[in-house]
Amino acid sequence: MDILLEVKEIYKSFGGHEVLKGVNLKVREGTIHALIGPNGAGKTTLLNIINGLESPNRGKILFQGKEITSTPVEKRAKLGLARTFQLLEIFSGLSVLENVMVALYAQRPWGMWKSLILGDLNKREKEIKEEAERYLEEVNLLHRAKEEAQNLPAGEQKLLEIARALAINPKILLLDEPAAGLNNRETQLLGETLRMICQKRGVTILLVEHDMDLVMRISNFITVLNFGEILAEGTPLEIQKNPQVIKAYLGEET
Amino acid sequence: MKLILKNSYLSVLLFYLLIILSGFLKSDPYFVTILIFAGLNALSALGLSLLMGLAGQISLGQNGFYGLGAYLSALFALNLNLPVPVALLLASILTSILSLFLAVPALRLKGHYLAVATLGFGEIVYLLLNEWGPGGPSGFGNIPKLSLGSLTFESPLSYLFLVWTLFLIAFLLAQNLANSTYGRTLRALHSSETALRTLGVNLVSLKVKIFFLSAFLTALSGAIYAHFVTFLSPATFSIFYSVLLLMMVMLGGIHSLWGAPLGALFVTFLPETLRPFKEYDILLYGLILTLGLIFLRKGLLYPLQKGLKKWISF
Amino acid sequence: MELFFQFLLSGITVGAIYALIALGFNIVYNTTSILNLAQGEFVVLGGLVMWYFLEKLHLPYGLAFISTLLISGLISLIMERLTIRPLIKEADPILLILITIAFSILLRGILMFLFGKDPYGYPPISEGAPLLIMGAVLQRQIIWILVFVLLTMLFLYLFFNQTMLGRAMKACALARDAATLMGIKTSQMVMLSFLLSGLFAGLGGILITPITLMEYDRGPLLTIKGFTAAVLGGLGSNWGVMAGGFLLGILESLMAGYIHSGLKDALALFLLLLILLFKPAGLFQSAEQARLRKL
Repeated sequence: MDILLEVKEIYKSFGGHEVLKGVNLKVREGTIHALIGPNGAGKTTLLNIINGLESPNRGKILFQGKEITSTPVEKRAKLGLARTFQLLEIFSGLSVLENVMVALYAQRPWGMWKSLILGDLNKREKEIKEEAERYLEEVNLLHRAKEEAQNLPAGEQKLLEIARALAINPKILLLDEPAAGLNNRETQLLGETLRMICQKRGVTILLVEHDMDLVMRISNFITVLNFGEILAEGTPLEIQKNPQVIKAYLGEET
Repeated sequence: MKLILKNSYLSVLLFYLLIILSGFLKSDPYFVTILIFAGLNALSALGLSLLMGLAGQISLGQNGFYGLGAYLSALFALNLNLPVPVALLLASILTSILSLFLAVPALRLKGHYLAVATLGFGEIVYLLLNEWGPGGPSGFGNIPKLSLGSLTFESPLSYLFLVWTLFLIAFLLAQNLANSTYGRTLRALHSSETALRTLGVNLVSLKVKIFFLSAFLTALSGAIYAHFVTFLSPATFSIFYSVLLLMMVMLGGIHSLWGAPLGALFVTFLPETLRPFKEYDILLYGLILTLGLIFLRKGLLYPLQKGLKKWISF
Repeated sequence: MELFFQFLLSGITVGAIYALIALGFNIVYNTTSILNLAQGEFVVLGGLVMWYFLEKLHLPYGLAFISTLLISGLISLIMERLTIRPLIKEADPILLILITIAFSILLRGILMFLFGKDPYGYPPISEGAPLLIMGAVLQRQIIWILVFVLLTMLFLYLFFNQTMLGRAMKACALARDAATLMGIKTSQMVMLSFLLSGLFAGLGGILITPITLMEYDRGPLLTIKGFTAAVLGGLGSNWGVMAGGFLLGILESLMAGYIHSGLKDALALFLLLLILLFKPAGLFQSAEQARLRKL
């Protein structure tokens, strides 16, 4: 299996406080890779660095073998990195369907002048509407298509973010706590959805999560990040048996 | 088969006909002149509404584009002897291109900083016009009126027709934009620029194009102004104009394109109604604006919009 | 050489006023994230009201001085109560900026109504022949201006570092939510910041009018200059904005003296644009510092 994403010796500090201390990570193509660790361990920061929203103080990020450490966020999206957010960043003021349509526009944009003259009579509008509906169906949100995105419960907003991220046809999907705010049934559904995305669409998934059940159930690999340093890495079985992990982390989770 | 003539188009058409009719029926030329100014302001305010309401940016420097459009068009007609329609278009396009020099660096800024960068730009243009414009602070005249071939626009009614027809066309196009996914992408700028970036959208390009459009509309408005009043002085193009335009958009209602014409009508006619109050006029003006902003936060349109929700789209 | 010092002096003089305006801007901005674009009007207010107390009511200088400061601060407070307070939860910065602009028009209208369009002046703090320093003419009022600016700086230092109230304001500026959780009433801090900025702007007006006279419509240009100074020095830092004020004044004066006086106002704006476009954090603080202030 090829290494799709590689994180090499990433260091990051904020105003004197070192958040990431020499993190190394390899994500294999076509897998679901989970990143777990206590709060404040630096997981979101790492995602931000992979995604391009923040720059590391030291280290490299490699995607498909090529270095992208200084590539801007927008370019990384075009290369095939998509993500969702811990603190929701849906487009409020737009409907659920429109949220995904914007992503589809972003993937294959057209000019302002075309919209000025044609408005929504533009042929592409019909195409992306139908395509957006298909993505919503994949995350079980089609019945919400016409509703205002900000009126959805948090759990469904997270699903919307996933649909939106998928719409740009990524090779890897970076998910930041997608199960937060979901009940058991919803989490089950999320797990199935993620597994399907990975298997059917071949999208690699790197997910930051606290829900251990979900993580153990769907991940192929798990990396444990403990206060900026990698504590352990391996398959779910290996991690469950790792004494250091149990001591530092798993024992405190319910 | 989609209906080309939609509710939203119909309501603009109705509004347009109302304006033109009132101009024809009330034969007082003074009234018609104010209505023309309202139309010029509406055109300019539409540009600002697209920039602010749709794309969520701010510009306090529209007076710069207004002035450049006016001065350039006048000079093209006077000194280069270009036919007025050509001068109008050329001046508007040139001003919009110049706006890019401001837009590209400035739109990387947000909120207050963007406001002040555009404010600074507008003020610089004013000062330059004042210092180096023909006639300096006193301005210059003899600007030719608009003429298309052998048809010369002389009467106020002809300008009324011209200005509001241009507005109609611009408004229809603007509605198209707002109702498209492009327009929705612009609206997404309000809620999450970060998310847009992670989807691969080039934010600067998006913002710059709308800025260009808004500069074009304002410059066009200025150019027509020049050929209507046939006399220009820098005082018309001070920062006060930018503030006024902003008031129009805010009072009219920023959430809808209709805010531009409604706000323009309100703010343009307001000083006229205050004229009889002499020394109180600035005071009352400021008072009405302040109260208007505090209480009509969502704009004049909001109460209207709630009732007529089906008929008026964005 | 004497010419240079002359320009330098007039630059420092007007720079001092810009520094005071910029300071007012900064204090309000720090606690509220609002740009009070009515700031310049309070300078005008200071000058005109001082004239009224001094020349119309014939109050002794000191009493007129203090009364004017109080009025200036009071009106600023009224502005906050009536226009900002009800809307601060709204959080739309554009609306709030516009309100300050609308209020500035209102205030200007009131001033025009009360004082008309004529320029007003009154005697400086101490009469007497101007001094001659290095060939440059130094009016005594200029020394007073510098004295008051130094007093202001002293006040700033003591207030923000040594008093509970000042430290509370600082906390509010740096982390509003945390400050609220610690029991600091942010609404009081906002009021206080408007009061202070009104005082400082009024002070500027009182001090500069004997030299330049004052008219009802000076406000907007002063606001822009004050803001330019603030951005130049670095919004967020009291010392930075004051330094920016002096810098702007000096540059302007040198420009007017050596190059072209008609364009000296344009210089301010051009500088503003350059700074905003290339170093928005200002000259006297780093980008990191500005970001940490959440600008």
